[in-house]
Amino acid sequence: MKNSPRKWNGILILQTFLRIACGILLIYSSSDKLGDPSKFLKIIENYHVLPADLLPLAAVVIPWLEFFTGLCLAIGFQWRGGAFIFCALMGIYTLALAWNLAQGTEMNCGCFAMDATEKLTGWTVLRDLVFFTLGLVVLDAKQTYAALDKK
Amino acid sequence: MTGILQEGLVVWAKMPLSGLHLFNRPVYSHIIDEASLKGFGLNLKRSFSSLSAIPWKQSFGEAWNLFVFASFFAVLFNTFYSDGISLKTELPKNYDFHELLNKNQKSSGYVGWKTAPSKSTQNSVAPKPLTLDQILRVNLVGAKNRFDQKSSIFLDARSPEEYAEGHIPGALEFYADDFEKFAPLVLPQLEDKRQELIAYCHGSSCELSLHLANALVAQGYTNVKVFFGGWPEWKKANYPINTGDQP
Repeated sequence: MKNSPRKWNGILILQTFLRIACGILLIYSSSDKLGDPSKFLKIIENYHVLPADLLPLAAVVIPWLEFFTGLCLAIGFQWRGGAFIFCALMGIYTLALAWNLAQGTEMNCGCFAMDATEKLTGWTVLRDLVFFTLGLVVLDAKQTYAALDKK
Repeated sequence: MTGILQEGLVVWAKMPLSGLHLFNRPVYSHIIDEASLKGFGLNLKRSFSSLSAIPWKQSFGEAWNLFVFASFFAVLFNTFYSDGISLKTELPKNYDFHELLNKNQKSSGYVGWKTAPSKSTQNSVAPKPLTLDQILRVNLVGAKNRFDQKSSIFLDARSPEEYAEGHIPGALEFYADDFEKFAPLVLPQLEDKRQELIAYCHGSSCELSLHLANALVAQGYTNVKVFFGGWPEWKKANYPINTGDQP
């Protein structure tokens, strides 16, 4: 908070808003997965992009990584790292979705709510690509408002 | 409307190079700048830094710390969490197929998913049958891609008569309503439990392929999908077909 930019800057306001929005998005996205790793394991198994040996570890780690990344972005603590991981996650999700779409696989996305029947479509890929771009915009910020970080 | 767009493009093209760029032009800074000109009173003198100006080292360092912390926390949480999972990969335990057959000689249907585990398989948790929404599907494009690449094994869940009338070339005959008869003939050909298997039948109105997929999942196959368009869609697309009782 101490090092928030003194003058109001439209771009920084936009980036701050996006930072907090991306954080809330990740926290929301992780909330359904945290308590049920076995179900999430089944979902990521269906994507067939990770080696079988890594699947259980990924099913355990990814939801918590999403949660802590979202938290960091929302409160502005280590937000650069948060934005970096946000971009990495969205980039990986976009590639995995696009690959399965190109393979002609019809499956539930499992993106936000695991029980939801959101089908994998071109819009799902586009949405994640937009999220990836928004993450880049946050990462591009030199400073940010309403953040715990002092730099 | 077109005029406004053209004017906008001209303004955009004349903008100085700064911030995020696409085709050497700024992507969104002009929008903010125009908003400023209209009297929002925001200080927009500082334009976006370019991506090369992002402190990548700092960002990566923080990201790594966050990743390590989240990973440790996740593994620790999973260890003590009542619904935690084993971090060691375990393929679904297989039923003893012959034992199941012996116990179910009189019953009909799909042995794998209708039979409760016996004492000798009490450690095996019977997978719940997947529903239409849960099973992985491939569409016509996906089926054709896999057919062309020979990356999957097709399984025809229809009756032997229908199979003989026409089927996808290479598809194995596996009548789902007579699992006991066909399983000993087909399953030995499917040694790799991770091989992608694609079941199909009469199309979306038919559930034979779903039943077959469930039976195969119960047998420990981990990559089973259903081509829901099935035979009618394949035939309508004029893709290659075979007739007779040979794949």
